[in-house]
Amino acid sequence: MPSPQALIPSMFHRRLALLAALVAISTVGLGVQLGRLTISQGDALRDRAESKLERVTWLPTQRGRVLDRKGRVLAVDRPSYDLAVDFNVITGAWAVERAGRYARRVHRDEWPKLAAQQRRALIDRYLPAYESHLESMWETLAAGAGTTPDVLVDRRADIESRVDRMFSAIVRARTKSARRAQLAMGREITERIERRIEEQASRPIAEQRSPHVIATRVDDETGFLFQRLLGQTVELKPGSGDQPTDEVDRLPGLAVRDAGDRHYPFDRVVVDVDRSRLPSPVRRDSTESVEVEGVAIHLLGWMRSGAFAEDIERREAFLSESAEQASTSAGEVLTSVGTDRGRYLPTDAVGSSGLERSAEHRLRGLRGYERYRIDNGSIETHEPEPGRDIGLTIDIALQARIQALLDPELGLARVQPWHGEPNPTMPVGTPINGAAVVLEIDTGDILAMVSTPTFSRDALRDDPASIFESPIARPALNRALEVPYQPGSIVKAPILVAAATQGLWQPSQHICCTGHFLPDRKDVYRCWTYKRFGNTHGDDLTGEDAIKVSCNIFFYELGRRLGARGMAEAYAQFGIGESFDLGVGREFEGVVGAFGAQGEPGERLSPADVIFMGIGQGPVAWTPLHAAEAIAMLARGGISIRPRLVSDGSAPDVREVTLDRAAIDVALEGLRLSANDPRGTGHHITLTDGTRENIFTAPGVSVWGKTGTAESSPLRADTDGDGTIETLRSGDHSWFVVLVGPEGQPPTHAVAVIMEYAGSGARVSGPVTNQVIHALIDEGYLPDAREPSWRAEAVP
Amino acid sequence: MSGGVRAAGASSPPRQETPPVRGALSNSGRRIAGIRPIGLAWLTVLAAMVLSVIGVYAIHVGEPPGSATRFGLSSIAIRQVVYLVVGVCGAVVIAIPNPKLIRALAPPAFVALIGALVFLLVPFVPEFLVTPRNGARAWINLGVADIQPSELCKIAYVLVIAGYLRYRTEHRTLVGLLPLAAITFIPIALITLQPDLGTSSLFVPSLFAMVLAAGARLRHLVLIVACAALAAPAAYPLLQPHQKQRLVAMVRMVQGDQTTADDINFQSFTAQALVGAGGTTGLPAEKSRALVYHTRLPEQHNDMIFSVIVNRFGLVGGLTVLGAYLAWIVGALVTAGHTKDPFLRLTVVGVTGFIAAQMTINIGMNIGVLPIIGITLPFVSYGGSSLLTCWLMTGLVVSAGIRRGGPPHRPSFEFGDGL
Repeated sequence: MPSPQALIPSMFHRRLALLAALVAISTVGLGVQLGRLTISQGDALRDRAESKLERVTWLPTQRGRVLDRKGRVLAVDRPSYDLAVDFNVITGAWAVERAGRYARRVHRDEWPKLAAQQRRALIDRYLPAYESHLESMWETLAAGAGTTPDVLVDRRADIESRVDRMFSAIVRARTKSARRAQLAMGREITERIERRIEEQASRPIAEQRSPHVIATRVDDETGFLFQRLLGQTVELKPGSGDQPTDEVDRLPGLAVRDAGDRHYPFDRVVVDVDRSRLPSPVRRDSTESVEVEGVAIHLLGWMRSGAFAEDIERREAFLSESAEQASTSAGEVLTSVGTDRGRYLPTDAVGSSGLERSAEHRLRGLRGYERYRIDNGSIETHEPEPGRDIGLTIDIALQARIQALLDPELGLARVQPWHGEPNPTMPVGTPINGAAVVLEIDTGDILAMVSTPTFSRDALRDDPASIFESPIARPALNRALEVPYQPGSIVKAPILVAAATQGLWQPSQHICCTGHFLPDRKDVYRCWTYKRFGNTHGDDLTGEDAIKVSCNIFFYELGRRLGARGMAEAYAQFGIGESFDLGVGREFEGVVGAFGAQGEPGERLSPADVIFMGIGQGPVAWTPLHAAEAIAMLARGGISIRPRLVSDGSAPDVREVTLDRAAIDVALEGLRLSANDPRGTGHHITLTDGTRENIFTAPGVSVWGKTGTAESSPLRADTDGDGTIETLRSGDHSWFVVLVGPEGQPPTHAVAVIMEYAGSGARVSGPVTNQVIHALIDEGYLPDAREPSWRAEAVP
Repeated sequence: MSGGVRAAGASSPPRQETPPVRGALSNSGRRIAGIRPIGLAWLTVLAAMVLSVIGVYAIHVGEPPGSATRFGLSSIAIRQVVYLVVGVCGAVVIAIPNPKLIRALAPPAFVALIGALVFLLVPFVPEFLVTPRNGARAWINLGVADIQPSELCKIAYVLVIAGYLRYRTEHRTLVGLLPLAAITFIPIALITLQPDLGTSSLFVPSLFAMVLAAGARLRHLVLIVACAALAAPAAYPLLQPHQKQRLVAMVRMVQGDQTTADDINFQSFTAQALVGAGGTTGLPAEKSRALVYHTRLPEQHNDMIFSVIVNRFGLVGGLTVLGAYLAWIVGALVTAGHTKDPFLRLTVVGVTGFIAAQMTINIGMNIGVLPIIGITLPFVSYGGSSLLTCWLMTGLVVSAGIRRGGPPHRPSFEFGDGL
């Protein structure tokens, strides 16, 4: 190849060629990058640039409803309005501005010649008329918002103070930033520059030019009324004599904004209770209206305003896992630029607890949006998608009735003289906390899940301490689902079936009740009848009889036979250790052995533990829902159906558990005898005067039931902050579980009732359970052979 | 002649025995009193006019939507047309005189402009005379117009260096390059202090082009470039904070960091977005205008005008601009090659160095391969001083083009060794 010198003899020309080559190379490089941007990345960059041509306005959506099993609306978004007023009206600057404008108009000719002080004097002359008009406006707003003018004065002062603080902070930040920018460019901060910086920094902020909410959530009617008043004007007479009037807005600076809140129509319910069906000591020949608040609040939950970081994280996790569930239709969850249409804005309401929280993403819905293109004026509208409704298995009327039954005012949920041995921590008249669960046996649907005491949403807003810091009442707890209770004797029927299933007992076997299980020890492992009366249940107990009379010895023996592993397996078969995942908050899964114990089933159970566990005592705990499901399993012949609260059209979650069929029949017979045989522990209550009253009084139904009086750990807390732990409650928990159905037919419903620290299962929980059965009749779940008299009404 | 062994410091050039250059770079044409037809300098003039017209239109597109227009152009575009006319007139004025006169006037003009640069930096000068713009004290208000001495200084500088080098050989040694460095340092330092790092950075490529064309040894130049590259990090602490910020911002952007798209790198990301949005053939005028306005592209009439052009005309428009610059540069270099006058040769090379460097840096800024350092696009960006300077440079090329044959000159910059 010829050398460069041969090609281009002149050195200068060669150097020129070299320079040309360098330029060509750099130009080619620029061309390549240009091609990359315009061709390879053109689409993405165009989208980025064109996003600046769009203005997006979000359209609100509606949260889904929550419905009960009969379609009654339990939670719904209710439209309401916020009243907002311009900041200059709030501060009164509007009046000064209008007075100034009027003064300039009236004194047009002389105005330019007037000194500042003279102008001010004229403004002051006309100011009162405008100030008076503002006062009148505040009174009108106060009346419309259902409050007093003084309250609005306080709110205005708060707004002014907040905006002033904001303004000061922003001015400081602007000044600092401007000074930093000047210094960064190497410029000295002269006095002139300092003045200019101050002027720039002191320009008004958005909050000083915009309306602020002065009254929230006014109802539709009031909102419409104020909307009609908008735009109306009035004539003021600031001057005197022949001076002109001034036309001003009737309600200057007012804006009526759509708000909306979550409404719970059945949060307060009035239940008419026929007191003639109560036990005689609390019976009246009248119907009493009981107003209950917070009906199903433990299940529905509540909302809060403003999303926390955890809500945003949950939303992102939900989107990444299952975006298709976030939309009710084929609509897009994300906009074309990838914005989540359901994302949280600062003032959004968010489900804070219960179903409102667990089903937040189903209920939430997707906002609509309007995309306005600045360059061509086109508007593209995407309609909002409302959230999905959620149907529950709960019957809200049944729920309200049961909650009313547990109102201490009626007497059943208050310590009564006939309840048994006095309890020093719960003297007569003390309200009793409790819970009740009603299951539909064939489907596993939860018809009611009541925990008392409950609380209202108003109390939640106004006095949360009374809900979350009350040491005894603890209304925030859902006693039906999250509190551990020892089962006591209600577990005897399942234990009998489990022992038989494991081949450790046959229905033909009879066991002798000796009063105390250990021959040489009369002070431990005693039968309750021996403990109280010194007698025994006889030496020829069948399984049915043992359940009927609730013989401890019989079940100590079964416990001994089951052993640790067998006992653990027995309880596991009946659901202990499983969470129901109902989505209403914390759940106690049930435990066998010490809390937190790990390892093989029964690994940490001692022989002594196991014996006690035969009667539902010792290291075992469950919830009323476990109890209802356990007894429902017996009714189903060994089929477990996971209880459910949300009705989503899916088939019940069924699991067949192998149980001894003959033992089930024995257990059911024992339960029938317990509730119906005069010797059954669940047959009657004995009043203080010795008279007896049958527990179950509803005609036309068959009842199978079992009482339980479970020894429990006392409730202790330091209530006065002095460091001393006091015993607040002690005693036995009162249980009653029943199966109930139309007379002569298999049972259709299972009920579990617990009354904390109340003592006797029969005397305390029995009458409550009876009234639950009456409530089932009232709501049509069982045939009614009584005289009809109960009704429940929703508070308007 | 054998390869370059000669006594060091020799002041007279070696006798050249190489024949006159022929071939692609040979010239021909009629000769009338030392003035010839313009030669390939017409390409330079044509390219300059194309770029200037594109600039006027791009300035018009960069105005907000709905802006008032007269004769179909916005007011700022009309002003640019006026500057264009002034520039063309200036080109004619500088092309006409004998280069000897220009060479004679160059040193005093350079000194005067250096004086003006010093004047800009004097602290107690009232603001009505020297008004800071964008933080830089770079303009002198003469009442009827503002002038930017640094722009005119570029031309004076090129003329001075060209005059210095025209028959010297000292630049063939490393030590001999020092006086050139010293001359160059003065305007660079003064302009950097304004601060206007962008303009001051252009002097080095121009000097590099001139000494390269003048025959400096390649190994010396490579050594200097290598040393500068190694020493560059040491200059970092000397930068102003906002200059450091821009450098860091560019590094992060090249690394793919998009988190600064809305703060430090806003200008660069927005420019790239507009460039990319133009696609192959660009966008309709109104849409382009709307995009430029609503993306809030800074300096859309000045430093970032290239992104406006590509947004409007796409890759085609961008390549047209690059092609026009290549045409200007090729026309200038060919003209330099045809010219025998060493002063004119180096003058053309020097101004070509300025135009090429400025074009490369500005377009590089717009497409995200170089940091934003405040440099306008020659012939295209809005501004009277800048446009006048570019057309004066074109006028100098024309001056070389019409005088490429005579008077007879000793062969220059022919040292016969190496590339």
